[in-house]
Amino acid sequence: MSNLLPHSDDLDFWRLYDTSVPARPANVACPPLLELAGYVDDRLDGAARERLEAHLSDCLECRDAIVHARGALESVASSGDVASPLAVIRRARTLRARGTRGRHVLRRIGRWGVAAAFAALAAVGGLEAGAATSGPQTTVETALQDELSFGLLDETRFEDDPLITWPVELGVESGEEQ
Amino acid sequence: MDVDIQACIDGDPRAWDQFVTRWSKLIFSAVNRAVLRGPGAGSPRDLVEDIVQEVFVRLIKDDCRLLRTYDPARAGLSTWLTLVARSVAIDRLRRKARPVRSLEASEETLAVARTPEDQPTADTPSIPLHVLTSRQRLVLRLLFDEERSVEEVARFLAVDPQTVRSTKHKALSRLRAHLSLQPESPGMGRSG
Ligand SMILES: [Zn+2]
Repeated sequence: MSNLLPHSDDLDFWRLYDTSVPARPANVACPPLLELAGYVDDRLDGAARERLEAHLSDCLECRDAIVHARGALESVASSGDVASPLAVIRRARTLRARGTRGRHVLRRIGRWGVAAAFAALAAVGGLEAGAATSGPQTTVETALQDELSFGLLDETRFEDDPLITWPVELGVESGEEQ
Repeated sequence: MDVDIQACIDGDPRAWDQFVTRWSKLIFSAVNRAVLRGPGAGSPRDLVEDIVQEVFVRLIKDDCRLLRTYDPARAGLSTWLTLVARSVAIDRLRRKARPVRSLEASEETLAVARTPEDQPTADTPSIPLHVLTSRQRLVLRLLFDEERSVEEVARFLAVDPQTVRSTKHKALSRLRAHLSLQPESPGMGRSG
């Protein structure tokens, strides 16, 4: 049958038709990142793999994610990539206990006294009126803004004392205690 | 170096230090790659460093909500972190482009929308992709829509290039066979 059809370049054939789809299929949720990661690592069983490939065939965004992940992993593995920036490491370390629960954090901060902590933060402009009173600080922007402001503090001050929690946590976590 | 994720979740600062030290290079690299390919020119160092920090923030914010979703039985940590880093980067780049958009970092947030420049006209017939398997559709999309090489597609699917060629061949044969039954198809028109 195929002899009745053009034998020109396959790509030309493809372009005779409307093959377009939205970058992401409408009304379909993209799979969790963990599933995409499982695909990259070849951890999916046959059915899950087929299901994901069905999604990938319709979702440019997820295809792009797979390509990106493979590229980034190869690039790091080959060590020909950018060096690990020290500034980035030091900055991320200051976040260290931010993920703990508010109660836990406040208990540890209690060593200083909450008032002292607030005073220290206010001194560097970390608790501007808006940031302190605008309700639950759940947005990433706010969290990051806090982090950036608090980054002005000397992050090495308590580097070696795991019991003392860096006061950056207060701005983010205290809302949970209300 | 194995990093104790549970200890990070439990708020152990030393575990967090190890986590950051172990994974910052990978995250930096993944963010850098995403920024380079995102909208806007270049990869300003400050922006990349800010996004890397945002990746760490998102992992541990809300009581490590995101970090808790990681399951070592389902994927390697490096792979998952790479995808998280990309997702955060793209989110940030979109926010930059559209500052009004509300942003709740979610596990599902992904990718940059790339609109095909050459939209087909209204009377272009649709290709009957439903006659193909998922794998066949995926291969044709990667080869023809994205114009990737056979080798790139093989890497995407983690198969050898010969498998890609054979999948492509079967897919096109199946499409052509299906279309040849439909006299209205442009392929038929062109050949006859
Ligand atoms: Zn998707």
